Formats: sequence, C-alpha cells, structure tokens
Amino acid sequence: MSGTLVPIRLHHDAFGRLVVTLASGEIHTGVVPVRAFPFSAPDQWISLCDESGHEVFCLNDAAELDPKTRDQLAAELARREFIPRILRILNVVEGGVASQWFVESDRGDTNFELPSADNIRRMGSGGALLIDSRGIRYRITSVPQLDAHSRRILRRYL
Amino acid sequence: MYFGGEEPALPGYEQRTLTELDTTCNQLSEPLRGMVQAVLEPGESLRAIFQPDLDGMLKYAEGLVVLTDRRLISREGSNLRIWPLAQVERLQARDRGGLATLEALGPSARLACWYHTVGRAASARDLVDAFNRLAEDHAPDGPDQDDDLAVPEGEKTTAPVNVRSLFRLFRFARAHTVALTLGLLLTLGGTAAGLVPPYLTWPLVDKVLEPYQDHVKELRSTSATADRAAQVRSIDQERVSGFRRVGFYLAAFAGAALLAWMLGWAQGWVLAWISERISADLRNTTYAHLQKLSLDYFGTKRTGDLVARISNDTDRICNFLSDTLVDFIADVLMIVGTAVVLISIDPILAAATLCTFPIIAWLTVSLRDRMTHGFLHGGRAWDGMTSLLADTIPGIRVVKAFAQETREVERFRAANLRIIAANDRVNRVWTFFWPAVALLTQIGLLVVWMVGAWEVFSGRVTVGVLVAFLAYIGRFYARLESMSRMVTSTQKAAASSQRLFEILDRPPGVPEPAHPVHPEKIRGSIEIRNASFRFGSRQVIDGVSLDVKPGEMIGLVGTTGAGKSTLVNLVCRFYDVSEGAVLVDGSDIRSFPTAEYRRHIGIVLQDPFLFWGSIAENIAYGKPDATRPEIVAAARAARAHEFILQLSDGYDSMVGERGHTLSGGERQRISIARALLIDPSILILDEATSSVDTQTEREIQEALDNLVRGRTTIAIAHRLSTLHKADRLVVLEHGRVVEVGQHPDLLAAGGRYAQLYQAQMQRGQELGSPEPPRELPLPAPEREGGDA
Repeated sequence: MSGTLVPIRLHHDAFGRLVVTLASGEIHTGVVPVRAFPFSAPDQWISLCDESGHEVFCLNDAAELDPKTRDQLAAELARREFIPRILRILNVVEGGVASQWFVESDRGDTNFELPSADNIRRMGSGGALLIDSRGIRYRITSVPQLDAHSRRILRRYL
Repeated sequence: MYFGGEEPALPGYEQRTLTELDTTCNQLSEPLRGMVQAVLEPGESLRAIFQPDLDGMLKYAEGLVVLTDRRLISREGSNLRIWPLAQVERLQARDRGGLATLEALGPSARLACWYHTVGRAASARDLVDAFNRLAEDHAPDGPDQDDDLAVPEGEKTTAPVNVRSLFRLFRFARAHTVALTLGLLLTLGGTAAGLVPPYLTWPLVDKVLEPYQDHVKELRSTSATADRAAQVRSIDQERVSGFRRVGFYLAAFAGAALLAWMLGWAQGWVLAWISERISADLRNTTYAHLQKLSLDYFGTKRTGDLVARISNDTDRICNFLSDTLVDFIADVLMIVGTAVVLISIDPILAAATLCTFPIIAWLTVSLRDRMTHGFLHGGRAWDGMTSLLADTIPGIRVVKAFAQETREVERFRAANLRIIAANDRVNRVWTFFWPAVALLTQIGLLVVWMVGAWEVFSGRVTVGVLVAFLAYIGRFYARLESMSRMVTSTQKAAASSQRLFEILDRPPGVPEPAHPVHPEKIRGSIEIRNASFRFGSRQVIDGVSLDVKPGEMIGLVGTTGAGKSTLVNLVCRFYDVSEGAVLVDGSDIRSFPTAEYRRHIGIVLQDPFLFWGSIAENIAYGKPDATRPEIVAAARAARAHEFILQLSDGYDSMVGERGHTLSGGERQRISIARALLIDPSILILDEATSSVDTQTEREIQEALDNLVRGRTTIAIAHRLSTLHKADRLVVLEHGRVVEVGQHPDLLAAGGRYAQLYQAQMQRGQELGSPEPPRELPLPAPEREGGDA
C-alpha cells in the first residue's frame, strides 16, 4: 500500500484557493481538505471536497503522498482546523449548569463557556474533547499528563 | 426576484443605523476607539467594525477590520492595511467547526483573509452585509433548519403488594454468601458489644459508688468523737481505691463502646458493599431480561415506567438491603439480647419493662395494612407523574406546536396534587403511629420506675440494678421505635421488588429453540405457509401464504391496518405465528437461534433510530468490528458519505449533539448504511421513505436501490410509486392476501390495487402532482437478478 504514491498535486491560485490536479489530469479549484475521522483516524481518509461539498478525491492515507504534497496538505488542514489544545486549566467558575472555563492553550490563553458536563467527551487513550457553547472544540491530548490542578478540576466533570 | 431586506437569518440587522454604529464605536474600548478614529479620513463614515480574534497562525490575537463608505481597513498588531472599496470585489464569510474566515477578494486575487472563532462570526457577517449594501448587491446566506428525534412509549399496570417478593431477593444474595455471613457475624458482635456498657452501670453503682457513699456516711457518723486526722486519712484511702475502680469500669465502658462502633462500621460497610452488588445484579438481570422480551411487551408499557423500575426500584431495594435490613437484624438481636439480660437480672422488673411491648406490636400490625395501602397509593400517584414526564418530554414538539404548554403544566400540577392527596392520607397514619410508640415507651419507663422503686424499697433489688435497667430500657425502646419506622421502608421495598419480578417473571417473547439449526449462509428464499397471527382477540394475519424467491423484491400494499407491518414482523421473528409457519431456505425460522437469524436481516424503518454515539458507531451498530473502509463504503453506497464529510467532525461527529442535528433524510441514509454494512440476505423496508419529502425521497431511493440489489426484499410503502422496482406486488386486506401480480396486470384487473392506485393518482393530480405518477406506469420490471 505504502509503496505506491498517489500522484496528486496541490497548489494555491491567486485567490488563495486550493487547486488539486488529479492523476487523470483533472483539475479542481477551490477544494477543501476534510478529515473523515478527525479523532479516530486523523491521518487516514482525508477527503478533498469541492465548494458545493462533493467529494473529488479521497485519500486513504496521508502516507501515500509524496513528502511535499503531504506537507502542503498538512498546512492546509492546519489552516482549516481550529481545535485549540488545552495545556492547563487555570480556573473554572461554576454558574448553575453552565460553567466558565479559563484555560491556557497552544493558541494562547482563552476562556469559554461550557454549557453542561455533557459537553466533555472522553476520547481514546486518555484524551478529552470539550465543546463550548459556540461549538468550538478544545482538545486535551492526555488527561493524566496535565498538572495536578487541572486534573483535579477535570475530575469533577469526567 | 430580490428578497434583500427580508433575510430571517440576521434578525434586527437591517434596522441598524449609522447612529447605532457610532454608539458601537463609543462602546469600544478606549484604545480601540482611538485607533478607529485615527484611521478615518475627514468626512469618511464608519459602516461596520469587525474584530477577528485569531491571527494567521490561528493563535488568539485581537485584530480589527473597519469598513467605511470609502475603504476597507485592517489592523493586525501595528500593521495597518488599507484597500479602497473599488479594489474589493467581494467579501466572503465562512465557518466550519468553530473556525470562521472572512475573505476579501479582488478582481484577480484574494486581498486578505481574517480568521476568527464562531463567536465573532455574526459580526463578520454584519460587515459582509454592510459591504454588500454599499455595493448594492445583496447575497446573504441563511442557516439550515433541522429535524429531530422522538422516542417510543407505551402503557402501565399495577398489582397489589406482597412482602413475600422480598424473600425472592435471596436468589441474588446467594452469590455473596461469604460476605453476607461476615456481615451477620459483625452485626452479632456489634450487638453484643452494645449490650456491655449498660451492664457495667450495675456494678459501678452497687460495688463502687454506693459502698463508698455508705462508708463515708458511716465514718462521719461513728467518728464524731474519734481522731479527726485518722478519719480524713481513711476517707482519702477509700476515695483513691474507689476512684481506681471507677476508672476501671469507665475504661471498660469506653472500650465496649469503641468496639461496638468499630464493629458497627465494619458491618455497615460490608453490608453496603453487598447491597450495592445485589442491586447491580438486579439491574443487569432485569435489563438483560427486558432485552429478550418481545416487542408487544414494550407496546403495552410506558417507557417512563420501565425506566423507573430499573433505576428507582433497584435503588430502593439497595437502600432497603443496606440500611433497613441491617438495622432490622441488629434491632431484633438487640431486643432479644436485652430481654435475655433483663430477665436474668430480675424477672419481675423485666416483665414490667416488656409490658408495653404487646401494645406496640398490636398497634404496628393493625396500622401496617393502612400504611401499606397508603404508600402503594402514593407510589402509583408518583408513577403517574413520572409517566407524564416520560410522555411529554419526548413529545415536546407536539406540545409546543399545539401551544399546549399551559395545559401540560396544569396536567402536571394535577398529577402532583394526586401525590399530595395520597401522601396526606398516609402521612396522617404514620405521624400518629410514631408519637404513639414514643408515648408508649414513656409509659413503659414510668412503669419500670414504679416497679423498680417498689422493689428497691422492699429490698428485692439494689439501686444499681435499677440504674442498669433504666440504661437498657432507653436502648430497648429506641430499637422498638426504629423497628416500627422500618415498616414503611419494608413495604416500599416489597412493592419495588414486586415490580421488578413482574418483569423478570415474564417469559421471553420468542423462545429459543431447544435444538437450534445454525444458518450458515442464507440464500434468502422465504416461504410463508398459511400463517395466522392473533393480537389479543384480533386476527391480524389470517392464513397468508406467500413464496418469495432469493433476490426477489416484493411490494406489500394495502390500507393502514391491513397487516403489512405485522407480516413483516413475523418474517423478522419479532413475533411468532399463532398458526402456520415461516420458512427461510426451507427451514422453519423458529429452529434458528434468534440472534443468528436476525443477523441476516436488514431493516430500514420509517423513523430511523440513531443511538447516542458517533456517526461511525451508528453505521457500525450491527457489526461493531467493522473496519473504516467498510464503514465508508457503506456510507458511500447509502449516499451519506458527502453530507457526513460536511459535519464538523466527519464520521466522528456525535449524533444528537448540538449543531449535529441531522435531517430526516440524512438520518434515514445513515440507517440505510447501517443495514448495508451487515450485508443482509433479507431486507425489510418498512415505509422507509414515507416520512420525507419527495426530493429527499429521491435521494433515499437512490441509496435504497443500491441496498436492494441482489437481496430478497420485502418493502412496505404507502406511496405506491416507491415500489416501482418491485418484482411482484402483494395486496393485503384485513390480514389476507387479496391480489398478487405485477403493476400493469393488477391495474388491468381493476381490483383492489387499481382502486388504491386510482385514489393516489387522483390525489396526486389534485395536489398538482409532485407525487405518485412520477415513476409509474412501470417499465415491466426485469425479472430476476438473484446474484448476490
């Protein structure tokens, strides 16, 4: 599987749109890379969809790309995805059902409202996903690796 | 046509005026307002402000985008960028999964792109709209509306309470015999230790305090003339030795109390441990049994009632086992032990102590029935209230749609009133009961004092004995009182366990065969041989015979209540036929193990039910070990892949979570993917497309066509047009097959089918026809296609 590379090429046009050239020579402009399994298999099943949401190409595994295209794709995905990783929980202020979270993330310090404890999901391998009242997602890669204070706060919700 | 001003997606936006924007400007923080004002040229007016909160690397950073009537100005840190409006062709706002972008596009290239979180998306859209108004070109976009879910329900029953059902709980206790014995031993030890301290008051008074007091008195009276120093020395000696003995008794007293406390702790912990496990066993067993019951059981029970049985009732039993039962055992042991000790010390005094006991026993027995009925009545009133909740909360859309909120609140209030009335009645009884018991204990105490005083005067007993008695009696009556309180929770627990055994005693709907035949690969031929089914007294299916070849598609047609769904349920073996048989590949389906047989059947229902979990998990529900390629392939075939990709977490999106509410058509396509994944040989489509509009129906139909290919299919459809691919149509009426054949033949025959068809045609024409005639008249369906 990993032996043969998928011969697709990516570049941006002057409008900043992503253009993909498929193996057949077909060209699609304004495609958006989408991870089909962003949590369970982030590097597999990456789909390129056109502007109306139709799939133009589906990549089974990022490893099947040549390194340059893979980096381009990774950069494009990074620009599309906004899931701050929580590094430290500074404080949580309870207010009825919802709570206000003050956290330190890889994108900087921020705070958000968590509508209820249901909005924290356990992910595989000790991780967690928080979804705030605006629908923004925050990841915790590994709960056991957080500092003691953050863990103590999280334990109330998990 | 241009609908500019009426866009519902942005309420109140259109009314926003420049003055309001100026106030917005004034509300900005001081440095920001300074910045905005600094960039404005004289005479330039502000149209919109937008503050992106992320930078180009998606890190949190405050930025500023200002739209004026002349220019678009952006500021990031100290970096100011300005575009005259003539250069900006279009502004474009997008968001997906929490991240939003605003792009400024020129005629030949993108000018800029600002990232922000969705919290700022509304103000980004404001800016876009302000820009569009400036350009006098309005092209906004509105959000989608979504459908949501409903949950099934049923009915309820009640039965008289029977304490005997409590004894049946021992079946669940058997697994914990060792721990249970340990618990009882600890209870015994604790009780014995508890009996020691009052016993010690006897020697303390008679052997230490009294003799000392007497001795001192004696010394004082006899030695009035004697040596005063010797007298004092003697009293001191006596005091020291007396004190030493007091110390001994008090230490023993404390030691016994400490031991009783420790044993009580250990016993409480052990028994709580057991009861937690017994009630978990009870829950598991009940739930597992519930899963085995046939569908008609669920049809006659209210969901709220079943949920309450598994959650509340097991909890009550747990409480009963850990608290009440232990207390009860401890109390009985304590009372018997106390009685033995009392009789051994002094029988007459013991008789006096126990004289109120028969009265309390009689009171308990005579009031117990009234209390039991009262509590049961209260419990039923409580059930009524929970069932009301279980009804109206899933049905909240109907309630709101018909604006019946006030009436529902009234109904709830009425149910609550019934609870109050029922509880008031029983409260009167038990509030009388406990103080009555307390009064009787006081009387008992009085009697003991009287008899005790008389006995002391007549020299039968010492003061110490009387004190010990009084110490015992305090405990004795406290125990008696707590036992009488237990009547309540015992009756409640009995009612609960009876409700649980009501479920457990019910035989599973479809029995498992004694000598099962294991189907390996089912080819999918179905033979329904003279099958009948009665539902209560109603004959739903009446002597139906039907032969279906492998790979054939049968369309079941008929009016509502003709027995179409029941026939399909018989094929799935949700019910067993009353008479006749259903054979698959020549074997009676009753000879297959149910679970194994159903693995070969795929079902798509009218109202697809998705479980709480990710989309991938929902698709893989029938085959939890499915690989991702399988899941994606099934989703692709079900035409679900692309809309799933548009969800913010793709296949990992949670169903039912905020923002992920799926439309009816989308849910249906997920359920089709679910059926496709298990690759069934027999497929049941029960009104799979009747709850969606024609456009969605077409999408689903494409997915269904993929699903049907090469499988034996039985499809029920109200809209006859959806059966255009059927090889044969079977018309049912009152549980009988009245016609079988292909569409043109049946139409030509002018029978029941022709009538149904004409009726739909007519209605379709009346409605301006987006409906039936679409695919009909049918191209004579290509027969066969049985390759798998």
